Amino acid sequence: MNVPHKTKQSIKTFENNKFGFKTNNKAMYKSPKGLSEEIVREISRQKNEPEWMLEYRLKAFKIFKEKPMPKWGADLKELDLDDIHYYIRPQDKAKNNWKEVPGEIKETFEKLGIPEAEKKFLAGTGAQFESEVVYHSLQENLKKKGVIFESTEVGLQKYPEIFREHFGRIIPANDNKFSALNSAVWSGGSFIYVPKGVDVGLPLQTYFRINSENMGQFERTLIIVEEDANLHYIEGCTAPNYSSQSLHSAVVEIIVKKGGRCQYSTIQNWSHNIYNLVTKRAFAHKNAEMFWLDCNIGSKVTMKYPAIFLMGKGAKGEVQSLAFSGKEQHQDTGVKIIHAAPNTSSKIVSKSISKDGGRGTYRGLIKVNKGSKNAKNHVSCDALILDDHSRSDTYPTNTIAEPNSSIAHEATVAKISKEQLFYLMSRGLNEEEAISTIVNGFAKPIIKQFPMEYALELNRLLELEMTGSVG
Amino acid sequence: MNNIKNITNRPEYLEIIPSRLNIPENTEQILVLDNLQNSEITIAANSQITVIAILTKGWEGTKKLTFKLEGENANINFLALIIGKNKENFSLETISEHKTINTKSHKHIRSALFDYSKIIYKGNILIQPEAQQSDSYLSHNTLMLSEDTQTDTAPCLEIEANDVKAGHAATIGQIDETILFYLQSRGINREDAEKLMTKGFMQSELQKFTKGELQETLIEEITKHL
Repeated sequence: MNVPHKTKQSIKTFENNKFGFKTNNKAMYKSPKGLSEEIVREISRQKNEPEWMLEYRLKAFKIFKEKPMPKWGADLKELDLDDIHYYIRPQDKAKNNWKEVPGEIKETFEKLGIPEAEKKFLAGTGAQFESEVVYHSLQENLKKKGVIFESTEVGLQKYPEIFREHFGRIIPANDNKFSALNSAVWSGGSFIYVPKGVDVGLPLQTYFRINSENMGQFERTLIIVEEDANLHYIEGCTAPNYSSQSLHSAVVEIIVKKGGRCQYSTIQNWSHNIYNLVTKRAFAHKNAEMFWLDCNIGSKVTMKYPAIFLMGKGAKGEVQSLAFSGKEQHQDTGVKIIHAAPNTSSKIVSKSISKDGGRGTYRGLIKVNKGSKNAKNHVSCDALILDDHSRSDTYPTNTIAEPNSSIAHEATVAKISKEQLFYLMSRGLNEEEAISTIVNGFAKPIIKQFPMEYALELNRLLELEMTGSVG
Repeated sequence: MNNIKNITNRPEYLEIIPSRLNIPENTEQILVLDNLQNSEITIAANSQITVIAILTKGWEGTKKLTFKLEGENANINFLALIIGKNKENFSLETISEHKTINTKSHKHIRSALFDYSKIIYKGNILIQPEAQQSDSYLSHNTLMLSEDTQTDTAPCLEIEANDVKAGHAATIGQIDETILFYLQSRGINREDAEKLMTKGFMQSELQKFTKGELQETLIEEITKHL
């Protein structure tokens, strides 16, 4: 048997604590725990920002203080916002040559296989360690075509006009409590600009790493895809296992202009003590296409609802997501799509697996504004519950004000049937391998959308999560 | 709905559903309503209740129906057929609580919206950890037949048991133009063609839960309101 053999091999080579190591790294600057106006000012000062950005941060900080914690969604009672370092600076300046990156940080990313991955199949790479981007590179030919791929700080300094025109326009600070927090203390993230008609063939990638305990990472990503341009961006996230929690609260804003296409792929594998509270939103203009591919495997609590606003005629949106909730995990994920123009279409495929008392939640909103004639939407949610103390919820909301539209939603919840197990076991798999094979088959339609190397990694992660599923 | 009272083997027609209703063990009951009130319906073991509501008059605020499946083999069918006209507003919420094994709840809402009417529906199926082998389904289908209608729907599931069958579905759309064209080419005017299709839309769901005289009477009732 081909599959189980491979399964065994990969589990053997893929140690349980692959991402679990931590690096002993002395930070150049570490803000004290908790958040105050002083810290916001200090972050801005250290980044040598223009006046308008400091004002923006301070305004956002005020909004953050005023907004209550969300009363819906995952349980955030244990999250202590005063017990977090809001800014940690590991080195003085982002490098664009791998050799110049400080030894300990380099070691971290080498362990994660980032430089290797870059050599093989990426057009550009960024690496963020704690609050700052430590490394950024982009292939020469793309640079010549005018593609910009920088850390968000560098984007602000070097391209102030494009930056200011788009920053905070898709997700304003007062959107929600955590977008306000991010707007106040943002640090790191990517700034990407793809000029008109340019197709960035290979994916660009950024790798996010939280290394310190009680740390908050607040990256801010701004992506602008000009008319008829094409971009694929991948982000990966990991952290070592500490006993106390950390917070990751990113804001990602994407603008896809007329006829452009953007794919944003995420592999979220934070350790199981991280609160992952993220706001992600894209505007797709006339005939543009936005595609979120979202895999959530790690973290303690994730609240993430990638959104697409279909702003121009003929715009298309698609979201495919996979969530795995294991012991003490709650993946509260979903999708928000607003049809704000005629002839727009959207498709959502969401799959969730819960196991060992984990809880998987799909929370979605489909809104069709009046006048968005001929809007089309299809949502399908599948959930797999692997034992009797796990949980799966589906909360879809459809708000339709345009009769000339077509909306369909379907959902199923299932378990692995005895017949399926019996069949596989009669072919020589043991129970654990049989379950793992079925789970992989369930997740495959999403996983195969990733470039091959990532798909393999995801398969391994899933297998890893599945080991020990039979007592 | 007066003619319902004349059916032999008749279902119970309630002018107003009481705020609490207990369905004892080993009973089978069909309930027909033409309005909704806040109500909590508890179903004991081996009992089945079918609630059919034909709603043509809207109301203020939200009406909430809670079904508690307390005993084994408790079974609930809920069917709401809504025909909205003028500025009628229909806001309803249904909850099914599956509390023990082998319970079944099937809820279907069909709404046809004309003029300026509006529907807001929130459905929830809660399957508690003890409710293994339960079977539940929730669907809401809407036809929006005029430019100024509005639909807001959220059919939700909360599942805490693993050996269950649970599903939900929602569709929102209008009548296919090609079908209307076909009917018009046969000499049926557009308005009648729409009514005919709407009737079929309601009838297809009704046929799953009723038969014979009751079915005919209810179809008549629907036709009257179109």
